[in-house]
Amino acid sequence: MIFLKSSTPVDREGNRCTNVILTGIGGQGIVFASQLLRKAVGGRYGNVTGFDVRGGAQRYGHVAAVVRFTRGPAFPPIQPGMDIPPGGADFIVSLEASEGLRFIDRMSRQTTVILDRFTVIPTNVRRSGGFYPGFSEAVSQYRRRAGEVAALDLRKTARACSDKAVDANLLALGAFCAYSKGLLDPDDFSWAASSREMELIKTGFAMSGVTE
Amino acid sequence: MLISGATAAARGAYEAGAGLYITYPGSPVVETFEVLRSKGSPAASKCRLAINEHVAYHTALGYSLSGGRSFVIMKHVGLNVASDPAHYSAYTGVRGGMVILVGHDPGATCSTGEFDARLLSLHTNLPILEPGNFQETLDFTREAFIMSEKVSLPIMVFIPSSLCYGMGLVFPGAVIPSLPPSGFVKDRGLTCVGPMAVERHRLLADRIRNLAQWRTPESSEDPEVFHDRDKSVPARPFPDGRLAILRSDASISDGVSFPEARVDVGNLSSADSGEGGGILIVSPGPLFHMVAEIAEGLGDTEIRGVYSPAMTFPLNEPDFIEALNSTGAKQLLLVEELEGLLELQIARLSMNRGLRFSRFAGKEIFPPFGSLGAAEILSGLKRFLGTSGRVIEETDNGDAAAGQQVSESPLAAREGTFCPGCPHRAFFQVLLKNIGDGIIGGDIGCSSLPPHYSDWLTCMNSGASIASGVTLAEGEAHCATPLPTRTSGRRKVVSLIGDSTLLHSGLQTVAELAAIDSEQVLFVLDNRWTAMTGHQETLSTPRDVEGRLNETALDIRSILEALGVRKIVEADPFRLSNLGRVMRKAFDTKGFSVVLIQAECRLQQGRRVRNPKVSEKFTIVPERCRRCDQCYSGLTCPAIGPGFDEETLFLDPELCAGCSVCRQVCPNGGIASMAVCRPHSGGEETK
Repeated sequence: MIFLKSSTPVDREGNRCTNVILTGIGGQGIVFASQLLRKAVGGRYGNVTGFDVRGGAQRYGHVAAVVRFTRGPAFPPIQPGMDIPPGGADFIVSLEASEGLRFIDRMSRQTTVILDRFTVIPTNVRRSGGFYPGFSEAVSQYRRRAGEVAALDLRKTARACSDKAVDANLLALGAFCAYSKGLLDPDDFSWAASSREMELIKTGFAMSGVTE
Repeated sequence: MLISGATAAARGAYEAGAGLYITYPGSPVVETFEVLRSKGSPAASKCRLAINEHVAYHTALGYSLSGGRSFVIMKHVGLNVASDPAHYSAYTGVRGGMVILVGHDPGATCSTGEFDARLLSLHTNLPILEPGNFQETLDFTREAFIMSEKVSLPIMVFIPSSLCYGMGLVFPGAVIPSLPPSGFVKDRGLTCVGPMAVERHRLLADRIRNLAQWRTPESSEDPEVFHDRDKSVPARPFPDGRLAILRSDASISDGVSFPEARVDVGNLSSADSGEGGGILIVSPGPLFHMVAEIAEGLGDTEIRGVYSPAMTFPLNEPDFIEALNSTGAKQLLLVEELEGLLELQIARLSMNRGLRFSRFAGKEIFPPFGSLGAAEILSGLKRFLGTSGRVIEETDNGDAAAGQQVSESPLAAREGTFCPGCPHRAFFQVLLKNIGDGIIGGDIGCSSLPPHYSDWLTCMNSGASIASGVTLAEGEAHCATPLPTRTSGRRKVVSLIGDSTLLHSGLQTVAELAAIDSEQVLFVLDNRWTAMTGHQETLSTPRDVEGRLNETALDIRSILEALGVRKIVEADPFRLSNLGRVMRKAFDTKGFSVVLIQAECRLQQGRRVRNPKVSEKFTIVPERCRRCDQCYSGLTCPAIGPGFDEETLFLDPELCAGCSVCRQVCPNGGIASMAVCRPHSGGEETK
């Protein structure tokens, strides 16, 4: 039997676990972006855990990545669990405007929401004509829960930069760096990302000045 | 290294020197196999794709019985397919280590079902290891090979989709070079028939009992089966479990000691019931860390600790008792996803040993369905504690009170759908238009993506075989209806199956349906790949992703003919009018017929046809678009969406795959072709 001593889920520097959710829909490169994010975080801090919801990947379904990390040299004996406790999200990056609302129970006034203005109505809602919040409604709901809400034109900018809408995922990583208050810097991605990807991450970092 | 759980399992098997890695692809453990066989992987030459899990399991067993170490990878429902070999492998035992990696999926995030395949071990008696994090996934997988050889049984390692798809820090170990198998040794013990089967069953029961009751020996007199190969060191055959001590005044530096309720294996009744008492939470796998974190945050001093056995079947009794002793707990709470495998075992142990708890709860708090996230665990713990615990963290949830769980997401579920250019979208467009009140038997694979299209959708090969029963009943129901009240003819029954599923489990069904001339039309949707799990090749894939011809590829039409199907017609799904004619003719044909729909998956085709010189694209002609929405709401192609003004539609040229189905569907001529020219730079299809 391995005995683990009691400790709160903080690192040796006393920092609470940082919790990030990256979400969107299949085909937006969430899985790829989450892998880059984990590598950047792992490279800088060493300790990262979390999980992906990938069932809808590539097929326009719901996709999400939960990334949790501590800023110390090692995880405490009792590691952070893979999921984020209610109200525990520090950042929610939503590449489709409304998808972040699926994590509304993880939000608090400490949460920063970064969202693309881009919305995609699910095909089941297209057929049934049911309700799906558009951009304005989504922003309104985020504002009721979160501390800071940043709405950006990631997809549009990606098209302008590279002619590829999917590059919005890289811009989002740059935007996350900008809003992370120094937790992560674009250069943290340099060992894991190609030069082209780095350029887009830096572009995302630079474009992130608009707060709604 | 920073790797996923699926990759950590691959690394563990590689470090153990496995000589065979075999699978039938199934999420969430596809990546395990793909990593092992990827370009440059030293294990690539030892990887095999099997036609189904039953064959994969048997192949791995044969390799193991010949002295080699084998690693077989499957999802939880794959284990159902392999359950017959799994049962007998427990009788035969193994020689080389044999490990079965099972990816299970609480919450059915990437599967049709979420059955708790761990319960099969109550029947097969195969031991289960459940790692709790990324490092343990590697370590337990590696250790499982050694354990398999020590106890002469295949060992199952279960990892959930969350762990498979997550990513964490892992420290790799040394790699044991893969040694060639020593060769098959003839052994009458491999014949499991009649009295010999009973004898093998008895030996199996002994092995499991030894595992359940194994404790650190005081001498080397313990059961020989668990000794190391040199017979000198009595070795613990399974990895250590973990116990998180949560009570704030606990000190583990001087050893863990809570004086109350001291119990021993031989004197369990002393842990008698009484009111209250400390709480021990038992939670296996990755839930352990989550439960410990949340329990710690609750700050309830009654929660003494969280115990997570590494081996969840059979539960090692001395380890569990040690966890009870170490915490002095009188109350037990089991936090398990899906079924209560540990709950069953601990309840049995308690009954057999006369152990009583002042409170014992598991599935009455945590439901046997769905996944357990942080919110569900918090809610369950608070319920057990009678909401006496303080809130995990003082947070300001906006409109919600601090710490109170806020309302659920307002979003409708987002179904997966076909990719732009998918041949299945074209097929269903025509089928739904022509089927009328007919019945559609669906099957597993990409064609199942919008689940509402099919009238049922269960397991592999569910389409045609369930349809076989439905046709019988439909025929009887139709005949039983009095003639004057018959408003129409008998309803048409059709069934679907993909190429990979046809080979996996559909061939016997087709042979039977042809023999009995079942009253149904079977559509074989051949997109040339096991597309749903990431495009693994099947035995009939004609070209690999590099474009190399597979000269031994099976021809599906020839297989159907060999199985006795007399009426086979082929159709191109992208020629909608022609496909409609073919369907109507098939519906009018009596008896069993097959329509073979062959068109390669566009995603995979796109990967092979790199940088095409010219690809046809389509665009909405605003002047002609009447917003009838047949393309938008009916076809639901992801490339088509509302324009900026919300009044018109927009066809995204980046997403358009040029299949032309939207143009054929539009009744107003509102969608037109446009050629997109790209610079000529050697963009021909790779030969």
